[in-house]
Amino acid sequence: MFRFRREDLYQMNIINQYIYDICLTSLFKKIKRIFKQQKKFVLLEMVLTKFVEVGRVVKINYGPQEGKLATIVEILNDKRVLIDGPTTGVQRQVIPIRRLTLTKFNLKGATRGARTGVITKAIKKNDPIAQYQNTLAAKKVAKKALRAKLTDFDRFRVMILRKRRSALLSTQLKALRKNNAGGKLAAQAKGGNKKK
Amino acid sequence: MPAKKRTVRIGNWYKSDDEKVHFIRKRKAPRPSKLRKIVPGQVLILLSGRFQGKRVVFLKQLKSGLLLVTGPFKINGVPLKRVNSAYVIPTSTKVDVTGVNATQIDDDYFKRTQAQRRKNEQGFWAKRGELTAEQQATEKTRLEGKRNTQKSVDAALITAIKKTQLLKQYLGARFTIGKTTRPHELVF
Repeated sequence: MFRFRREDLYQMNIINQYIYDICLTSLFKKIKRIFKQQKKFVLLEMVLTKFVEVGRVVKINYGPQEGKLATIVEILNDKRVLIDGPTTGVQRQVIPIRRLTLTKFNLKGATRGARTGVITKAIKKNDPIAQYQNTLAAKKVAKKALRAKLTDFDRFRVMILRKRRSALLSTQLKALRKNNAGGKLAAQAKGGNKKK
Repeated sequence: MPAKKRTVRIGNWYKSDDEKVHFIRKRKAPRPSKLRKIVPGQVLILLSGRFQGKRVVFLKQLKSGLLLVTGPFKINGVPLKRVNSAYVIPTSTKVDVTGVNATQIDDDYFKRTQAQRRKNEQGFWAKRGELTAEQQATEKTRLEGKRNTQKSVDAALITAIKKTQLLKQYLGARFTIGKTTRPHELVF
């Protein structure tokens, strides 16, 4: 695919204008299309997408509030921010950025220095924390926590169920192999066994 | 005036150097150990002895402080047994023991009989035939009695165990530690 530098794109924009002036509409359209593609490509090329900004939902990595989510309310300097998490039990506090992980979610309606009440209202309207819980990362954490809580009997049951599921899968696989002798194997659908 | 009672005992036996003093237990009756939150019906994991790793059901604490447990015998081969609570991990799994009658069993149930002691006395080469016919007969009836007690105690337990799925298999399996298990992190 094409790889254009930003300077070239500016050049293309200028060319666009020029060609428009000449009214070669079809050529102009073609160039516009290319430009759009390149612009999209440039946007996708952006390596950094999560910014420390007001409204960014963050996860606390370190300290007594480890694992909780909060929103950045104010940026103090290049190392500290003011965060607040009224719905997740995080008190409004100054915290070093080093102790945070940025999530890809933003709290809409959070303004700079907003008070806790404003933040709570914004969360009620559009909850990014609930969206975060649906991400793979959050689910992995939840799974790990659940596994840590298993009792001895639970661990035994999980072991037996995994064995059963594996046995089911292997019989299915055998049947498929038999039917598709020499052909490509279709993707297997996982069994319906409950697995923690 | 009556003589003042001596408060300090003066011994009249002085030990010579080459006499070994064996451990003298000062307290005659065993003190029942405080049960650390182990409830009748709870599944315990035995940590030492022949049945290491076996999961057994706790019935009651005996007067000596030891715990009375049973496999049940049909499920994992552990009979009615006394177990020290220090060598046990209590799990959070509980079995319903309302129908189980273990009140008859106490420390005397586990006392060694004359015949057993005699058999042990004779040492390594002793054979069953060393007992008299009468002793053999009593031994036989004693063992029959034990088998019956085991059965009667286990009967109610097994019906309770069968109600929960996979509990029977769980009790039949041994608890093991693998390379990656961290026992200090496990929740029992």
